[in-house]
Amino acid sequence: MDWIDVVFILSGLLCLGSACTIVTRKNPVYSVIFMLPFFLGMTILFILLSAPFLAAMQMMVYGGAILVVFLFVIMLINLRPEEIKDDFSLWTYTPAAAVGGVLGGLILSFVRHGIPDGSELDKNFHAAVNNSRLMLDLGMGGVAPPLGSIDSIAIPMFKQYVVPFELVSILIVVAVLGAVILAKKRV
Amino acid sequence: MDVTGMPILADAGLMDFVAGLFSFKLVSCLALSAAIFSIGAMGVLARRNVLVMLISVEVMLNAVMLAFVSFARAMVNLGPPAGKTFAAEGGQIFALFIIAVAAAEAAVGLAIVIAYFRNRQTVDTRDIKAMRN
Amino acid sequence: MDFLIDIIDTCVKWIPGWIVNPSHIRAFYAESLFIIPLMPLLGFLINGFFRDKISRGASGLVASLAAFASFLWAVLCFHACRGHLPEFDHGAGYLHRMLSTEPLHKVYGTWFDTGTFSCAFGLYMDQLSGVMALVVTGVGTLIHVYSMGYMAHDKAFARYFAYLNLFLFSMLVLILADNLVLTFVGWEGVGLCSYLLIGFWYEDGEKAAAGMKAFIFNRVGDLGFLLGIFTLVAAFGTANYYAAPHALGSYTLPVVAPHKSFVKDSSKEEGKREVVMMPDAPGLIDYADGLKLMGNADAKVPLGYKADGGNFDLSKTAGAKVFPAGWTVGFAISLACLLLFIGACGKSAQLPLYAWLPDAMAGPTPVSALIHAATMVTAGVYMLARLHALYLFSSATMDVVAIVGGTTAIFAALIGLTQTDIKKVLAYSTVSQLGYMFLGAGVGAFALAIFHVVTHALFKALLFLGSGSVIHAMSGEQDMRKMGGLRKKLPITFWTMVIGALALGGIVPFAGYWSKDAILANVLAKAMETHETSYWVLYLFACVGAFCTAFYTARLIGLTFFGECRASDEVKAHIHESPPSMTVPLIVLAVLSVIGGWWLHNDLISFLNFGEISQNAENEHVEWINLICTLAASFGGAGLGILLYISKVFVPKPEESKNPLVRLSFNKFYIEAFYDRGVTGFFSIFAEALHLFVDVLLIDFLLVNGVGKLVRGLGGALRKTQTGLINVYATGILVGALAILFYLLKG
Repeated sequence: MDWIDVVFILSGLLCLGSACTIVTRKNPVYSVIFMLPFFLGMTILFILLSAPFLAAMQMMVYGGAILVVFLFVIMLINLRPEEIKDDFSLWTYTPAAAVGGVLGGLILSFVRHGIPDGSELDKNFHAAVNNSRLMLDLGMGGVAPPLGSIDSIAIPMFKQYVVPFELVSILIVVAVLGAVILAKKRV
Repeated sequence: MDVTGMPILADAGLMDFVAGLFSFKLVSCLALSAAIFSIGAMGVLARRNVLVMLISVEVMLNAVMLAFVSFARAMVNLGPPAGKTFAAEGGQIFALFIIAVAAAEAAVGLAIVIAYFRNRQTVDTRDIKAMRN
Repeated sequence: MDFLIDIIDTCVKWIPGWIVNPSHIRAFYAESLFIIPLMPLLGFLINGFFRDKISRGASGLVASLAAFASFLWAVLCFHACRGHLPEFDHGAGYLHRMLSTEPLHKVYGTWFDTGTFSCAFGLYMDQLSGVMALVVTGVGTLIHVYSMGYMAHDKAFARYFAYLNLFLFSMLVLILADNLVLTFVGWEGVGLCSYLLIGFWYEDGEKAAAGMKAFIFNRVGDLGFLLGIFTLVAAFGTANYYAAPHALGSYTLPVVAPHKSFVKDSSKEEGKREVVMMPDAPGLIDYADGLKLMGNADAKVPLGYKADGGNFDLSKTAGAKVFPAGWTVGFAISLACLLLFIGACGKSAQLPLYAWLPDAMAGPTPVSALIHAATMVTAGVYMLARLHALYLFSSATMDVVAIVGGTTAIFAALIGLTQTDIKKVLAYSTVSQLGYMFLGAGVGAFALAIFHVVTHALFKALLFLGSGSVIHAMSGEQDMRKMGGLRKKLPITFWTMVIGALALGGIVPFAGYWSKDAILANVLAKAMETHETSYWVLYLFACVGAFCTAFYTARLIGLTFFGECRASDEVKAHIHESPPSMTVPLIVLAVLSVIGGWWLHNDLISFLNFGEISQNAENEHVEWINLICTLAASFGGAGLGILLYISKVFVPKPEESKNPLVRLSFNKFYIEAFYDRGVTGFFSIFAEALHLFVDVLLIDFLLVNGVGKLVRGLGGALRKTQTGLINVYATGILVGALAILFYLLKG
């Protein structure tokens, strides 16, 4: 077992555990607080998957902005613990668990049979993994920008994906305006 | 390919497959993504608190990002299929877009929550059923 | 005509002559043809939209000025397109169009384009449409001026003028259109305006019903017209009359070159027949001319039609998808002409669709003068003349036209003998005169038919306006038996109406004589040429009709203006001569009715050099026989009328008459009774049955309410599934997504 496997397992377990905590806490404040280790785990996974820029974005946008907004809203609403209704019931969790289980099972089954060990994707993934050990320190050396560096993301983003990019920016503007209008008093 | 026809549990190679998941490879990343996605979906379906439902949606989106990034990693040295052009970074770029969309979604969703809370003093979906019948 | 044209010639050519090239002037007038219909349209818009804002005087002034501006521009454009070689070969439409006249043709843009068929907004002015436009705008202007006096006391003054201007606009579109589809737009527009103006006083149910009657009769005809257009479009793939102006540049004359759509195997027959090259995008008339010139004598003609050269199988042309195998171009043309003639029958009040016109007298009298005497009802004649090349192609249709026209001429004249309403007499007289026009067109004398349109427009407008003046003076009374002795009190009206009556009666040398006499001469010549009984009968009809016309005209004058006044004292006290705005148009029209026929008869006929004016009619022999017959008929009828109604006034009581002939005439040969009871009754029962079975049972009960109840029940059941809980909906979404995922992975 390589050290990278160890890191992967630990961060994966961190994610799974905090995700479970997020969805099961009665008080939403705990849910939001447990988002932090969840995002941390995701960030480590992204770094392992040679997506350092994305990892940085994840930490900044999710951990820095979205999470804070959630926390902010919870504070704003200011539900006292005794006002929070208990929403655990077998009637709701059983079908949800069934649906979630079937969904996860289906994806797993697909992954298992669709991408067997030693398939081209798998091999390529490992080849990239071996490269990425050296590339953990960003972009030293190679001629072509390595996967996940800012260059390698920026160039296709502003060439091939420029239309979706612009659309997303419009979406964000619209969403911000919509949020302002929705949250204004006396709509 | 016919994958759903196979029994998931009663399979001879299942234990090997599960044991194989404890190492860093594509399939294990995807399996982790599937598991997180299922947990998030369960949260959305089971919880009655709108805020927690929104957080669960974020969890689901993160799971999807994980899958995208894993595939981007696996695609990096592979050329595009015949007749197509794509950058291997497409997966990562898509993940970035997901972050942006998630931010927008959170902003609008939370604005709705605030607006609703101001009017009804509740964020519990059991109380939010004006659309009933 | 000449001195007028010379004056205009001098004015128009001299002023811009040293500024621009003369050919540019023509181009300028072609470009600006749209101004003619635009002016009344502007008047309509102003009067229509600001009818509450502008004063009564301004409203009448705007409308009259619009009509007058349109008239002026029509004069200028007419001048620009007049012919230079009037005696050139008849019939060869575009040939003489190139050499003898220079029609103004401008295509302003595409209206619609459906791939195989496209239709343009184009205006076209040649001699025919020029003359018609002059008549419409000229008489129209006079009637606008007259209306300012006649309608002075009406509350819906601006609405009236808006309709009148809209009518002028539609009529000008009808006349100036360069294709049948655009003509149809105008055709429908004038029908609409006719309906609106007949029912102008819509508070009166009877008048509103008369408007609807006119509209429905016109619809019947319009259906025929539309089907005729479809047939022509299917056969030729075009609805244009002539090739578009830009296609004209490629002519070379004379040419022997087969046109590809009409000669099957050009290589074999090229040397044998004389063929004229077609323009790039030929119009209907170009096609007809081409067909005529390349006709071969030993053609097998189907269904008895003498369609020279039209024996080409349509399944080889554009119409292959529409026409059954074996139909020929000649047959298609005959069919189309017949269908279009049905439209003309409706619009021009010919048998059997004439019944709306007498009822149309419910409208204001100037409207009767303009629409139902001078212009709109002659649209059918205009259409025939416009498509004369096609009509000449199908002799069977021409026979139908002549028979319908001749029969209508005598039929309406006989009804006119016993009517007591002054406007009804004139209405039947109009129907009868329209019959003469169709008779003339039916024997091929299209130019004479148009000549009669022109003279008839002058004197019939005069008579209607005069009768309007009488009615105005009599406080709305229209029954001639309650008039009498008005000649002292209404001198101007009296003298102008006498002139109109002389013109209508066909007395030498007033306007009506020249045109009617020439038409009759052509009928006689045709009868002599063909030796067919039917033409002799038609000639007899026409002469008897002329006799009746002269008689009832004298009767009208006698009952209205001579003898003692039979009105009530109250009305008597009120009798006054009309204001100048009404008498001036009367005087202008009276002058034109005196000199118009003599002035125009040579020029106009040679100017309108189309159709087949019988060479025989120029024969002295024919001329003398015809002269004796028509003069005998006119003077005989007039004399009898004077004897009965002027020298000693006899007040008729047709409704009490025991004489079966009088009863037959007074009751309009019971044709309207047949329409009312038979046709209307049948359709009422049919409609009632449809109402019960289709509307009440099928649509209301089964479809509308049934579907409503079904949906309601289903909705009530499905409503229970809507819990209002977001989680349930989310579960639904996810389960659906799972199902799709499962399906995709399975596949």
